[in-house]
Amino acid sequence: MERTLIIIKPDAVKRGLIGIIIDTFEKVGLKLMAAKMLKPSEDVIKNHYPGTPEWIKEMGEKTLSSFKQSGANVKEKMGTDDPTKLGAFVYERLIKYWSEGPIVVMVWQGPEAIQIARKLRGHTIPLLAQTGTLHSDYSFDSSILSSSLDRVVKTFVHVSGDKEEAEREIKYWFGKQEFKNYEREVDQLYLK
Amino acid sequence: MKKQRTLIIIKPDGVQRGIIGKIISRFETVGLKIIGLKFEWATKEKIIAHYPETETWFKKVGERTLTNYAKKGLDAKKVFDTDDAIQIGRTVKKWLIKYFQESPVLIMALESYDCIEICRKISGNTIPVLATPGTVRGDFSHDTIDLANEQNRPLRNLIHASDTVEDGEKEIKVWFTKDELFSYERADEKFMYS
Repeated sequence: MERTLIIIKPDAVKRGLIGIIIDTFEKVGLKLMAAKMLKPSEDVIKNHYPGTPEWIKEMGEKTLSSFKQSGANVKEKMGTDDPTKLGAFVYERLIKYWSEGPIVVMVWQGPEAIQIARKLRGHTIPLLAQTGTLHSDYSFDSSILSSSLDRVVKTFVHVSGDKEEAEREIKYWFGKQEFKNYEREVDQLYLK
Repeated sequence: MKKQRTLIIIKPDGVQRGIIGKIISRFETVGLKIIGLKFEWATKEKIIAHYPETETWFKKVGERTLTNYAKKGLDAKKVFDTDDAIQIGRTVKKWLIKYFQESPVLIMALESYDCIEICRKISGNTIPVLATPGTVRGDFSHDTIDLANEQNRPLRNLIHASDTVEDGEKEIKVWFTKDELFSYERADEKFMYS
């Protein structure tokens, strides 16, 4: 059965959204396999991401394109339009965001768990997320707003992007921990 | 006034029925702060440490069971092979250990002013059938002592909430290490307390 990693970030914890976020994935039928609240060090946060030069550049390019979409001037706001420099800059701000308070790291399991979690979370940028998704229903954050305040977009729910990422992230946060199965009320109806 | 801390456990029936998130929300919306949270399989050692391993506890639980059987006109000896309260208390504890290990459990440490009383109020009467609507047990369960006794099992009452300030501190120590508890400010904290 497929597994995905979901993280509730500090702003959502402080707003008392843990229950609502868990309920979102739970009521659709996904099964919670593990969860823990923790306050990771900067290094631990940093290594959650691949952090390779290619990845940093890609993040810079994503930032460039979201600036382009919103019509704001990247150079004015960020002091550079070089994707690598921009990526490194965003990386630092990401770590700062994650450090604002404790987070909740979880493993969820179910058929197509990765796709379902992505769908329910919605677009990474809350402003662009469709209604009915967590990012749309609980936030108005956007690229313009966040860059005007010198911070990253507060993507308060992280979900793994694909199978490879899910495997890497689950291993990163839970090590060799095994996830022993248990029965939920939906199992008999849909999984047997 | 000093803040208090409560230990909440969402037991296997809450987990199996898929209402973890809804139960957590009940405590969050009231304004309590979750300072520790984990979802894991409870070890036998921790369950034993959680329920006092004392004669007093066994006796209290055993006597309560005997009273309930007597009220119903049932013979406790048939179920427990004894009518000694302490022995019965020990059997009930075995049932509890089995119940707690049906699935992982969600364990939370909560903090607020009057946390113990608030959590007990939100949880509702220990016996679900007697819990009023608006409480976790009243809204999400309906188990009775009669039914539990008839089926030789403990009450399935969804959650555990610490009884007293001392219990809260003691139980949090059983389930959490110091570095698993966090201090932070809720977004609405200054609007609740200033």
